[in-house]
Amino acid sequence: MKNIHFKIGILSALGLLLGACSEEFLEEKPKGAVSESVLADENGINLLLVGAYSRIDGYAAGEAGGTGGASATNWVWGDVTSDDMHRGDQTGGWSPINLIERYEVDAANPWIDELWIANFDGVARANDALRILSQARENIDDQAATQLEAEARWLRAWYYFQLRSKIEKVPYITEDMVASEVPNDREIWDDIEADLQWGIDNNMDESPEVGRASRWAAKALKARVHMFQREFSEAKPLLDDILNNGPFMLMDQYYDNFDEEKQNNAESIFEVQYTVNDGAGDANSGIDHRTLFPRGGDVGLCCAYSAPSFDLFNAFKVDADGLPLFDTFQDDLLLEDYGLLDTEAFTPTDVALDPRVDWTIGRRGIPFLDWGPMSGGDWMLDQAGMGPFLNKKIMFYKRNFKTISISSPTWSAGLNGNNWRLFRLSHVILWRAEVAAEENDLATARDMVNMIRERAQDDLVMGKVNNTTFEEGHVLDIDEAQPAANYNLGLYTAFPDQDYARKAIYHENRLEFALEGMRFQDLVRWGIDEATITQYLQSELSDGKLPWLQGASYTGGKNDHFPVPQTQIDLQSEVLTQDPAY
Amino acid sequence: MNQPIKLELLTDFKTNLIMPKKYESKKTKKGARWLVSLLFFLCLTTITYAQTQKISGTVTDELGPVAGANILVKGTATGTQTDFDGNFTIEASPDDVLSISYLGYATQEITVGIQSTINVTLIEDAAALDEVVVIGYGSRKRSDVTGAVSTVKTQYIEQQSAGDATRALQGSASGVTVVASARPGVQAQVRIRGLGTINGNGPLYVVDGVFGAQLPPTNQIESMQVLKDASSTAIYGARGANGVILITTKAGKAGQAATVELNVRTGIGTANSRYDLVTDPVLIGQQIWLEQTNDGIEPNSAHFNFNPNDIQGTTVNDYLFPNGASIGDPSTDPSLYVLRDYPITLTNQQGTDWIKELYQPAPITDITLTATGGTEKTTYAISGNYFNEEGVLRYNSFNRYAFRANADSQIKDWLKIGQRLGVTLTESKGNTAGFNTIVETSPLIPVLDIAGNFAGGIVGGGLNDGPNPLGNNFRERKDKRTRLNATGNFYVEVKPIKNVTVKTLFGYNTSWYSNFNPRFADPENTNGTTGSTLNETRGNNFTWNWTNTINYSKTFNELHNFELLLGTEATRFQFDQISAGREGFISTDDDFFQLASGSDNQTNDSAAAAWALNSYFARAYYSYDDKYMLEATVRRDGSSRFGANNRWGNFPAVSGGWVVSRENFLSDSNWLSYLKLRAGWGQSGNDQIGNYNGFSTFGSGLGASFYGLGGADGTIVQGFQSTAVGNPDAKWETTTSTNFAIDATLFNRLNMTLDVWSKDTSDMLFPVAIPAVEGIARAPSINIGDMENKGVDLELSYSGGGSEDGDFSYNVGVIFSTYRNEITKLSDNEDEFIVGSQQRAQRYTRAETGTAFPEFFGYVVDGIFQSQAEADAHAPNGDYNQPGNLIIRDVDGDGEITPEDRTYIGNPNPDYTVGLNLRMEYKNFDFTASLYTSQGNDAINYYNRFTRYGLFQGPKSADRLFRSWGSPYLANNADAVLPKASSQTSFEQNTHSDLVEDASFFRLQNAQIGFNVPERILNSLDLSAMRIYLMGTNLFTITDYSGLDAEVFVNNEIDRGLDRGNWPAPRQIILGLDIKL
Repeated sequence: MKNIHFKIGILSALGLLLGACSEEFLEEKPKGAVSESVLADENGINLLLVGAYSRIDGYAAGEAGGTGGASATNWVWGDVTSDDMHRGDQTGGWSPINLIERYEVDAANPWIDELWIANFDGVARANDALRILSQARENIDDQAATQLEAEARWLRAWYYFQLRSKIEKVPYITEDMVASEVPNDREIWDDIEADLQWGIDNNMDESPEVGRASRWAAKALKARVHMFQREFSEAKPLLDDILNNGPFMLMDQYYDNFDEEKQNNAESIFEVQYTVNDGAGDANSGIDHRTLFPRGGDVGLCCAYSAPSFDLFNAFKVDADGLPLFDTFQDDLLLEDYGLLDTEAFTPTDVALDPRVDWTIGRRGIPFLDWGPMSGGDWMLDQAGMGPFLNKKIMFYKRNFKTISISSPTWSAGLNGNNWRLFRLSHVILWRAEVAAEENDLATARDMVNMIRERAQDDLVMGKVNNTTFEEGHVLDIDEAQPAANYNLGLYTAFPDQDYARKAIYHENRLEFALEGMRFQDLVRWGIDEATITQYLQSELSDGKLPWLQGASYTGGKNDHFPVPQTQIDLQSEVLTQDPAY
Repeated sequence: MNQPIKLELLTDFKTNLIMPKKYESKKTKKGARWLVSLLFFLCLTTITYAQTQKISGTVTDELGPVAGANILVKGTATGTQTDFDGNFTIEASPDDVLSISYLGYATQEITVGIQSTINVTLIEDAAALDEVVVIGYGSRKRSDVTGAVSTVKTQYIEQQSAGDATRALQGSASGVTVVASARPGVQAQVRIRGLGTINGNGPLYVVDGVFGAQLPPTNQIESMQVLKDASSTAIYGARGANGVILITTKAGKAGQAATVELNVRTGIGTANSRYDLVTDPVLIGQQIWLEQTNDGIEPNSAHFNFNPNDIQGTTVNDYLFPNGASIGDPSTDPSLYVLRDYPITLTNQQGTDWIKELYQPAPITDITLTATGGTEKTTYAISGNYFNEEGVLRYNSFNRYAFRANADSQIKDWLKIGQRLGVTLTESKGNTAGFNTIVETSPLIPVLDIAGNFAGGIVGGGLNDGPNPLGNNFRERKDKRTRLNATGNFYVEVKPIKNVTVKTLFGYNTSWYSNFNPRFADPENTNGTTGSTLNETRGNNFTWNWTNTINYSKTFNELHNFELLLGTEATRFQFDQISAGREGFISTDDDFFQLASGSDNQTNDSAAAAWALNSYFARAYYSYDDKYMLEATVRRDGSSRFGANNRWGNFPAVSGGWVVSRENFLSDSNWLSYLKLRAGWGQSGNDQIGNYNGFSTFGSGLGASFYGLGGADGTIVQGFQSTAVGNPDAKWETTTSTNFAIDATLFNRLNMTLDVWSKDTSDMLFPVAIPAVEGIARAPSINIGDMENKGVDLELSYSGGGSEDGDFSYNVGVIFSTYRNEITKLSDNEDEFIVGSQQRAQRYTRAETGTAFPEFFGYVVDGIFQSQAEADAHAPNGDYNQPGNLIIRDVDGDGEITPEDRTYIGNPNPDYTVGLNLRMEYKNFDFTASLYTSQGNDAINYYNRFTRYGLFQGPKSADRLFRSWGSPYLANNADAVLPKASSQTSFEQNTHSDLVEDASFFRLQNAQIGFNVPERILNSLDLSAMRIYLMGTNLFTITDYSGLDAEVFVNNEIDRGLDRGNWPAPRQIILGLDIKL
């Protein structure tokens, strides 16, 4: 027992060591993240602002929006819902979008969730920047703070515009509110206007860094907001200001607006910036519309999810003067190669068409940019279900394959860095025409429309394809000196009356901006949604075409907007209420 | 009884030892005085009797002398231990009975009589009550255990072919539900007593006192115990709620002669399980004929010729590419061939059976060399193991190299030092799932095109774009995941005074891993890629724990047995990972294909995390005359994972046992050899809430918050966003468990353990969804839910034959487990539910208040509409109600089929599972078999959506052609098993009850026949033992389930039962040889 002290010494040492674990030992902080206070300076707020911009494509890696429900291109809510576009691919691929196209959206539709969640994420990001800015404002140079606030407010207005143009009952949340307590019980258009007006009043930068919102972008968006409320007199000065004082001019070629080589051009007022090969994988490369690229042997880029309708194709038909057939284009519907295998003979129509048709719609026998002529049903999986047409506006030149498109191997190799033009001068011109028509200033209206038409007149797709079949092993016979089809585009000599002017302007909007996510909401704000779509469905589904869409019907006053997602009402049952139409 | 005094002491003792300030050096003397007085107090009642006769002897076992065996004169306090050579001397009178015991061996009782020398050979005790059971921070005789602890027999573990300990738990321990993956190298999913939470349900693995350690290869395992109720797991506090699995690795024994053992086994595995698919091209054509005819379309396809009026008129084209070409066409001239652009491909007129093409005979090899031994003071065990298993699906394999060195040394009589070290290197190659390709790729497509390249959907003509399954696996063959793990501990054990042991143990578990993940071009795929990419990931994680315990153990008056354990523990985990990638490789040659040689798209990323745990614990045990037992434990855990406002939690437990058979009124029973009643109550916790639940953070992500502000491709600028909302109040989930049990032995042969239990989880953490208006950030978990589990565990074993019946002996074991699981509250919102992963717009599983976790959720099918009148009379369902389509039940009765009509349509949790283990020995032969059944577990074979309900153009089930409504092959539509086939998908793609199947199965897991080479041959070979055996695994499985394997393994608990392609369990035939030098 003489060692007892020694042993007890060990014991004591042990006891002391037990005390080594202090409370500090249990302090483990998250890695690679910061708390709010670190961001409370000019640089930090700018970082938050960039984060808010990055949501503008409707996509953020790992978050809601991946399928396209919040896409900046609005292809789901603006095109598929309209008379312009069918969902493509095959009907089993994505079932919720079938319901959208059939006008059977209910509050449980997951794409409504996407729309709501992704855009409110944008709102929240903008509000984070605004909230921290208001806390740190005294330490930031006044001009810098104003610019940060103006851009953040512009973004908030944009995300709200995305929401309000589709869902009527939306809570307007600003940076000083507890978001979860704000009810959706009032109209929010005025709030959107106020956020935009703030930037205009506070002289936000007219030409900031290229991806940022300028004062012109604020004016364009605000004009659009007024147009949605039919506040033409309020839209007018804004539109005139852009037209007269803005630095913008129409590009020479219609297709320049869709060509990545010409992005951020003189016609552009605001673009969604897409990038590829930027180290972020596919996350910034237009992933919100990744499924729209064509598929098939020659252009196997993805899934051909966007299929222009028969109705849209026929809307490009023109009379002998090169003017549209507003009321009769649905007669003698051209179906092109619908129902034919690519090995069966087919010659494209020789009916006169507006040349913009072949910058908009991919169809058999017409050169698909520089990808060669489309050979028919083998460029898609289910011609019977989607029709014979493809979306050309989201494509890019083959010569730029893997340079402007993603170079990573992926299942949608069409992902590319081509920006999406949210606002461009041609929008402003046609909106101004609309304002003029409403004011019964028919000459101005006609001039504006003609300005747009004139630019497109000589912008022809070249390359007459003489092949009638595209069986394997065919040799292409293309006459590059000839236009690909029988094009004709004339100018209006006069708008005889206001009604005609409206028709002409509405139709011009359709042709000029086809497949750009605007059509459906335009129909609604023009008040012709029910008549147009009912007539379209009757024409489009005649003779048993598109079996899966048969039976679809449109109810005005209900299907013209969308419900509040049920999941969110469940989460905020005391605060949010459902739209009475749903 | 002086129990109250003891309890008081306990408190005092605890506070003194736990509070470190008491041990500042100047107070040492005071501490010493205190300890000595404590010692005095506890020792004062020891009484001894003097005897006259001196008995000596030797205790041995089959390996030689046993040091440290206990010799006790029964009914007295006189006792001794054998020395290093197994010798002992003791004083006893002729009437006395000597009781010789040693942990792990059957206790023997010998009447002294006139002998002066008594030699005893101990016999290893397989099932006896003297078996040592490892419990938290200690061990205990089985007969003294009061909690619910199951032991998996070493023999059973070694009998498994997989070399993976988790699989050995299936059917070998009651209360344990195991879903094994047949994929080589993948651990089974082990769940103990139901599912206690919607969060992590995995048990805590403790290997040699090290937490979360990599499980050692089965042949390194000495014992495996499953702690099931809170009375046994509360000592693990905030991590004990899901049960604890304690694994001890093999060590040498003192005085054991060096033993070298070589175990070799080698064999081959095969699989032949199939999806029900039509592969005959003509029948595939008829399928298309049927679908299009049903749709009112004249049949047309680029690859077939049809007679619109006769399904039998279908013929298949010679070539897939060019579409429609016949043998001899100029367009098929091989000189025209261009990869991807002109891929001339013949139709496979026999039809490609893709899964058959993927299957291969899969060799398995397992070699272990072990050396164990010991001197009087020092023992050791070292071993090396090589394990290789090829996958039954081509281009997959798993390799493992495992080494172990364990050593213990009794340096002084009061000081022992030892260590455990296990090092494992694993390599998993291939890692392909590849199941979707099997149901998406048409059997018309041959494996190779005419140029010998992989053929695929690029041939066009409406064949879907599933990649060539074989090509897919071939390209993945270089995908390699390597992991080097070192797990072990170092300890010092001091006995400062009699009956007290102080132990400090430092445990570590560290892994370095490296994933090499190439992607090669797949030009045959419709959306195929032409370039290659390489991604590599390197990371490491390191967990250490420092555990200090003081153990006091003393028997008074031969009747009062008292044990006290006090301990502290600190644990910390850290993890670090970096990854990088590149594209654009001009060659895919192995030596060239390195990150540095790629040209484009350089990417890199990192991740890191850490958590820490600080704990204090105590356990007191008291038993009286081996008849009454009482145990109490408490643990106090502080965790970095818990919010600042709730950092510390206490986890108490009490349990008791009553050995009824030791009461006088039963001691004479002939049939009832042993009967014990046990009861326990306790609380343990679950801390699996993520590491940083308490923090609100902002972060940045390349894909989530960076933006190309500058307008140029290839450039993005950093942005920040809110990434997490913290809940500083979050704390552990508490599981309160109650256990009642009976242990009984009848006729000395039939052992039974019956546990009836309940487990109630409260404060279940739920990541309450943040309303979208607040933006997207990770929602914090809050303590809000409740979950209930109830169940019965039964273990039976019967030993027969043996010495009285000649050379034949046998043992039958039955393991029965059942549980009922219910979420009693998910969150404050009654309508809240959680759903499984989304698969093509469907979520199959869901759980909410009142359901099990999880259940299948969908529409109810009430048959098929036979007539227009019937369809018209039914609640409208869009335009789907047509003759030949499914009758969907209007569950909510609102006269319309809407999503509100979905309801719970199946439960993937089994009603019960049973393991049946047999062992027979006859002379030199032995035979073992284990059978396992899981009954009442539902599953959904996701691929039936493709094969039976027509999603995409891949191969279809025979039923779709022959037995679908309206098929010309079907005499009477009333006999249809499937709705009308259509080329368009429809409402049938929704989750519905016809997709739910009973995936009950009954499997002969394992059967083995062995031969022990007789001694005379052994002698001539100079071997001490040699055994040859032949083993078969999965010799048969009985099930009605349509997937490849009824044992549906999923990665996320919420997806339980959703079969998205499971590796089929292979049938293995293995030859083995064990040699002992």
